[in-house]
Amino acid sequence: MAPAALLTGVFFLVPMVLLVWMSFFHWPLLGVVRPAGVANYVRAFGDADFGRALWFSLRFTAVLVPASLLVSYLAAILVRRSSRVASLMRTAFFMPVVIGFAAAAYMASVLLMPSTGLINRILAALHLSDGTTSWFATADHSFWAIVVLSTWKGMGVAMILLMAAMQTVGEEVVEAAKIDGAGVIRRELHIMLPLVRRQLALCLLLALSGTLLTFDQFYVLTKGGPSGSTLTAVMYVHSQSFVRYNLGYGAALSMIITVVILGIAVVQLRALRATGRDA
Amino acid sequence: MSARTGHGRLGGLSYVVVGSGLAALAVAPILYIMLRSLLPADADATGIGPGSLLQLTAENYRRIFDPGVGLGTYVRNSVVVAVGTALVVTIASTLAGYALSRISFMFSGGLFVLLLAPLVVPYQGLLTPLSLLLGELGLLDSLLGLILVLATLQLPFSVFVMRNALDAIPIELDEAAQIDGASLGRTLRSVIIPLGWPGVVTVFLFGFMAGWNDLLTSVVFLSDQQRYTLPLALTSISTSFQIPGLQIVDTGLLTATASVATVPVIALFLALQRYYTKGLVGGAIR
Repeated sequence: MAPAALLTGVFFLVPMVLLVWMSFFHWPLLGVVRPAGVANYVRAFGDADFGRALWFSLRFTAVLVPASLLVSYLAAILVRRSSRVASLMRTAFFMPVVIGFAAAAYMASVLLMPSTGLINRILAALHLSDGTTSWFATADHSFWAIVVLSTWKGMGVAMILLMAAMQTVGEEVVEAAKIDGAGVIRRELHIMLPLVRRQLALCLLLALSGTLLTFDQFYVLTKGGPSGSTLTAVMYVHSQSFVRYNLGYGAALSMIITVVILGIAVVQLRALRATGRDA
Repeated sequence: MSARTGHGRLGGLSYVVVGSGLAALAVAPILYIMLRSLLPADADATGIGPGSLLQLTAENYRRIFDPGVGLGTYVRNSVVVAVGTALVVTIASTLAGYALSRISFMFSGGLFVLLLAPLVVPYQGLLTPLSLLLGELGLLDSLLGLILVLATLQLPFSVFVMRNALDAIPIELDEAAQIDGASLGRTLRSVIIPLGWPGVVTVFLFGFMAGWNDLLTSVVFLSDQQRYTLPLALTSISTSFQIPGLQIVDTGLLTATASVATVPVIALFLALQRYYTKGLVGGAIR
């Protein structure tokens, strides 16, 4: 017990308290720390760049989370049986999860290179583009490229959780409906889906907070550009705190993001409890 | 009819074909990058096809491990951080999981909540105060500081996994061991850890991944290039070959470095994959 409690105390609780404290100060890296009252918060609410970064993160989350969960769910249906091919697929689909986002992002940058990258070559061969698309030159292209990359990279976690949930339900339940003449889509949608909705809600909660805090992919692939159009909220806090060294302001921005995430978590947990009651 | 498997239309041959195809598609990007890392510099211009297999070369690896680039240092740092994080997290979460699952004491409910709290509070927001704290402790820009922070961030998930794994072991077993005169440490070693092995392995694997793959925490806490880990080295290797305004990326170096950064963690995953599903979902699946 002791080591875990000690680590959590020193490296989580203390910084948590310090974060709240710092957010009420002007706190440069070097120089005098001065009380700021609520000035940092006032500044944050008037900061158009922060608003833009937060909005970008929300938009990215609104697109990636449903898309990625849908892929995870379909994959879970495919891999839930026990056979050699199913376990091969399980391993293959989970493999992108174990490699780092930095490495995955650099792999994507090579695959997406204009003219010479594999993906542009395939698109050109299929006559879908001329093969010279510079994927990270415009906000739109990088947005969609990174949605696909992140789905590939992250779908394995929810797949495993949903697969386990479906296995607990058991094939017998679905098979019974087959005898009644229900088709495969109706069986999955009307019988399996309601039975695993609690696990689905848990996956949604994990995916939402994780995606809102996206940093790695955009840091590596776009650096937030062109001209700040793909800057995520965490990247903006990072640049305020560790590039411009406005530590107090960075703390206030962190507080705002934390409150947003906690808000989403609370709404979700309420909904989860509600579905639990009528289950 | 696929009477044997009973999976109807999707059963049988089409399942094998579609399934294998999708599995291949999922790992294809990784395999392609590894193949590219073994090809000479003109591979991008000439295109990569079956003929490329005749031109395999270790040239890119020779270049990144050249003392001038010094990838060896970054590999060593990453190994230290990954193994260190995995060990700290495994020991701490096994002890905590055992206490929470077996010993009921006055504050155990509250402690469980405290240990899980970092799950809902984004650690990305804590990096600012953490950097001040590490500075005070003399742990800024050190691998030990990085390990302790990463292990703490990994704890909620790990404690959760360990408690579930240990809850699944009947308490009669450790009672029997204690009646036979085994100490608490002995009970842990001979009963709990062998039976909770899927949990222990899962926690170790994910701890290793957290240390090996971390980018953000390393970007913030490490400034001395001698202490860079592989993900950080990737950023510097890829940018050092860029001319401002005109991107000239050395694909050979980049793919070789990316392969070095992925092969160990993939190997560990493949070696331990028997356990992780069981460990991840705990007692839910049996």
